[in-house]
Amino acid sequence: MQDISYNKRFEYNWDVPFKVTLGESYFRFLDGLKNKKILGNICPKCNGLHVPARPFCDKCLVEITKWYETSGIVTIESFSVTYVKFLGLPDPPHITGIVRAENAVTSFLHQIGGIPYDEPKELDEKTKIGMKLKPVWAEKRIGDIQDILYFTPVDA
Amino acid sequence: MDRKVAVVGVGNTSYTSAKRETRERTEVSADCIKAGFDFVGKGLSMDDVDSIFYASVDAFEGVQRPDRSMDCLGQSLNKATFFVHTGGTAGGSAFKEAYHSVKSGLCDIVIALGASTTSATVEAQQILNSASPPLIEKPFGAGAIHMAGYYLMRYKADYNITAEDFAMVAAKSHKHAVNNPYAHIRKGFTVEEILASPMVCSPIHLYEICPVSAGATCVIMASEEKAKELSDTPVWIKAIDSISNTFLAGYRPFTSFYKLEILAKRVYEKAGIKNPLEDIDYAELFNPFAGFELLEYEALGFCDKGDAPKLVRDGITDYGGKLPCTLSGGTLCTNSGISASMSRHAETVLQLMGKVEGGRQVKNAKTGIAHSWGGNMGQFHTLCVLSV
Ligand SMILES: [Zn+2]
Repeated sequence: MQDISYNKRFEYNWDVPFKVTLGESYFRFLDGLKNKKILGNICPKCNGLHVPARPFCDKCLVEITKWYETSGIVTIESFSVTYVKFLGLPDPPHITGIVRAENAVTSFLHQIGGIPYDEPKELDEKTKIGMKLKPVWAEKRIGDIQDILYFTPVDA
Repeated sequence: MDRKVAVVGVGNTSYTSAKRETRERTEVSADCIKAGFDFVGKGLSMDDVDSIFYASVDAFEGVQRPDRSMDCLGQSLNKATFFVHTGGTAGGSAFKEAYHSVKSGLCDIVIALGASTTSATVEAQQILNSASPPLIEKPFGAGAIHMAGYYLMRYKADYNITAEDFAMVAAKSHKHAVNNPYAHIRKGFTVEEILASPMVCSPIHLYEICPVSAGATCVIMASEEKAKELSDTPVWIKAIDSISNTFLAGYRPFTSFYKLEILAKRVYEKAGIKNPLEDIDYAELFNPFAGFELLEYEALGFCDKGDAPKLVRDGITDYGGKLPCTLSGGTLCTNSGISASMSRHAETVLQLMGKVEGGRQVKNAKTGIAHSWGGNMGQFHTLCVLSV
């Protein structure tokens, strides 16, 4: 057993605010959320639909300029149910997943909710890859990815 | 210029829990470098070293450019020191940068040090979350374990992988870590114990998750001429490369470690490896979440997609099997941050030198590989082929 009698720690913390510029694409995407719209954009070179909209196609390295409004319905690519409490995360059980809008070439991370259960572990079976989800919107929307509170099964 | 580069020395400190660590951070690095010099012997000291590559992640250490604060890297001796940071793969990347410096002819003897990265960190998941794209992903608080969950949940669904399959590959690491004096968790958890441990983020159980450890690893590399002077058992670097993916997770299919597949083809071609299962004698793979090892077998061409659990069940990748993998216990049993991505190389080197302790020495291992994984949702991989 290691001697920890001198395991004394000096505590400090970083509390440093940052402000990143949005640029046009992210501004329009986030502004769309305020109006309950999930916007994508289409690469002029590979025709790849990008959702969320983004300034450049990372594959073709060209600027994306053509806008597209999705239906808001997404499909689960994968997910994970969190069963323990993590700092800053909602109380468990809590589901996050990778979802894809329509036939987009990009997917994105979001929360999945509104799936009923008796025992938390049922969520692993009740949440399914390939499941179709719709957005549940915040009452007050500010132009942030969290204007979508979570995605929930379309038939919920 | 065909200049050969060898690893001639490996340095490990002892490993413990980050919370129980009592050594000051620079002491750990100093001990690690000293262990490397002692391993080589022959009076090798910092005076003989041309460059030092220090690999870490600054946010974990709570210091910007933490290499600057490590006086043991030879700053007072006018040495050239470099900070290498590619996230979780930084150890593999520093190994590669150190190799380049000797291969190019600019340096003769160099050190690559994988830092004890996480001992100052109060909440590792907070730091991991700060590595996510701030507009789109960061607000959901995903840490490394969630990212791992997406890969493993998809793998489970696509190939009917069972909880037992994951537990079996985890148990393999736990079993061997018991015999590794440089492992942190040496409990020897069995399949039953792993399956009975709490589910943290599905499909990952507690005993399928790495600990937060403290301790450092280094390697000492030398040019062919110096290597022959310094070592009777030099291990040559045959091929090494790394690969990147986009920052935003959006472009990734979570269906496989497909970037590692591309990287493996590239590296195998350079090393002349045609049939990995036949041509490779030992592999150290990056497995902070036990199930990763299965995805890695498939990406590295050891078997077809979905067949990795069979390699484990048949003992192919266990001690005594055709291609023993990660007999150190891997990152699953010891993860002191960036040190863990250099330990893969250090362990493979020790196997090829025939200097592994604890009854884990593979007989006649001539060619080995070392892998590392890291960055936001698996943004980077490095892969290295070593041989005697
Ligand atoms: Zn494109």
